[in-house]
Amino acid sequence: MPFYLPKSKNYLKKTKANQDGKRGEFLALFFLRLKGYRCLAQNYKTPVGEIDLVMRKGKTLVFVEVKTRPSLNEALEALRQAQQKRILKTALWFMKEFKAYTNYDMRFDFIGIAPSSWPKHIQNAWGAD
Amino acid sequence: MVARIHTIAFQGIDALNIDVQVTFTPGLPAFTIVGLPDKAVGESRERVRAALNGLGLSLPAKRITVNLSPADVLKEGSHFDLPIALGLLVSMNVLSSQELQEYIVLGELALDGSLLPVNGVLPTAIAAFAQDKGLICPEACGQEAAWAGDIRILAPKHLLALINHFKGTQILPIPQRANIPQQKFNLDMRDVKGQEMAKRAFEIAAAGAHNILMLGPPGAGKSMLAARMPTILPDLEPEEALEISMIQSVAGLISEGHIQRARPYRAPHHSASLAAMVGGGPNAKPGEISLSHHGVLFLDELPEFSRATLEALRQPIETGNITVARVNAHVTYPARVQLIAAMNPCKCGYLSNPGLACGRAPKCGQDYQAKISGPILDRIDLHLDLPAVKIDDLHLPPAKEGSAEIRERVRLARKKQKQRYLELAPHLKIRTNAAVDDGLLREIAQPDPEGRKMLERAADKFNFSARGYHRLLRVARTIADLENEDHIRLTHIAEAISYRKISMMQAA
Repeated sequence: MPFYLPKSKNYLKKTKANQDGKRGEFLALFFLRLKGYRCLAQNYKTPVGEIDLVMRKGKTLVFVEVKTRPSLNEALEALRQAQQKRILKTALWFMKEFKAYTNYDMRFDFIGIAPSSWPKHIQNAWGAD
Repeated sequence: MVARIHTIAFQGIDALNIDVQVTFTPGLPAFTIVGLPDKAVGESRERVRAALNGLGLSLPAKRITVNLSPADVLKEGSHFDLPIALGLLVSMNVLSSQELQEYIVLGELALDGSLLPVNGVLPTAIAAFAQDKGLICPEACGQEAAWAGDIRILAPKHLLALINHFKGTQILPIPQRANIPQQKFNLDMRDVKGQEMAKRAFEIAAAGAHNILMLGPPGAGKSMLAARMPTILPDLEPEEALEISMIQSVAGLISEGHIQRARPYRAPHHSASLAAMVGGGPNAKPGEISLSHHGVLFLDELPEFSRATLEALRQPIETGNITVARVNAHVTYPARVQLIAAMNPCKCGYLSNPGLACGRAPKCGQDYQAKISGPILDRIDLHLDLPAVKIDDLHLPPAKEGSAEIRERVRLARKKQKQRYLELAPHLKIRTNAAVDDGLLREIAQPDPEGRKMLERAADKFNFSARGYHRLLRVARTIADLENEDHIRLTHIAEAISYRKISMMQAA
């Protein structure tokens, strides 16, 4: 075993929650594609934060946060104020990085994923006020 | 495109035109209100959002900016909800901007989209009338607004009803003026036994809107007389009623859309603060002296009022208006009041009755009466000595004359005054002898030679101030008016002098 790897091998097998989350994000992407959104970025990472999905539909950019929980209610409650702010900052970063979208409208959506229920898509879930 | 809606902000009872501008721009979705809104206006954001949600409309994911212009005037009150909501609806192409240009809009929104009553609808309606615009206000205020005259009023109960009205699917009823309940008095001057001198003085005071001070022992009937003053005052004229209602509308005192019919009668307790009396608070709300405009301000136990409160009354009594200056506002309210004051001659109250007076008389009386400053006394036209009622008098049959008879004489005297001032100075809108300025007074109150001689002697002997002299002439003028005489004669002067005490101790 190489010396530079940690002793525990947990990093290799992803946790169950992590796997569920990844699956949820994939589901959400699929769901939005069906609704006619185009994907611009997945897990867009910046020094100020991360956005699960950046989508485009017409002249609107949609920044999507996906939460996966055992029940839909838990999923809907999972988005905290601090994270909303972080996503706002990240969205602005995105706008700076890709100047082509300067004149696009911005929207912040939320998708809640839970087993055996249809994904819950909340449009314009929060804003900058 | 910028949507514009007209609304109003208040500076005292003046309505200032405010333009509500709403625009959507690309960018981070946000809803901001700019243009110096206070807390209640800033919170209207949430009410508007909820109300529109209740209609099934959600705000677009754009940068929504609401500007209240002019931007340097502080906007306060909850009546900006409706204009902001309508501005948003215009921007969202739900309503047409053109139709709404014809209206001044005010109203508060509940979370479910229904409209809640707001203060100041009457002054707004009057402003709308002056600008030839219509008015959109909550249903509960429609009757109040109808008093402003013949203007188009839309008074919906719910935001949805208003939208339907503009879409043409629903017609809003035109609010009618509420019927004013006829004025009824439970009190009558007849209830006061004896005290004929006092009743005569009250009749004169009522006829000329003069200030009056009653001085007498406890139980002499001072408060009783004062409470009956409204029963002998003439009905309000329409203009007066409107002025009073505008002040009350700003103060939030109008109930059920009734316009004020009775003359105000305010009797603040002697613990009243300076701000309560002349108006104040951060937004310079009207005080007691403005709320009793064209009516009676009764100050019972005059010496018990704080000195500052009393001295603050000096200027408004003379000028008939009061300017309240605060950080956020500099407002002039009308304050043409008739002051009725009552006081005991001393602490124990029985200064004039050696049998009952306490051991400290007369020094105690001097101290007590010295609490009333000379300038205040000088501004009171009629000084009235009220002796204690004799027990025998209580069993007398009721007086022949009641309030109705006195009131009729007062009405005629006031009519005479109003006519005279309409001829002499139509632009000044003077109605009573109390309101006339000194120059005009000297013209209309020329006593006959005998009267003049007596007046000069009295002025010489009692050292009247210039103001005191004019006040005396005013009272004489009113006495002559009560007798329907055009010229002031010796008897009128004599009676007027008898009501003017030179110093308090003499009264006691």
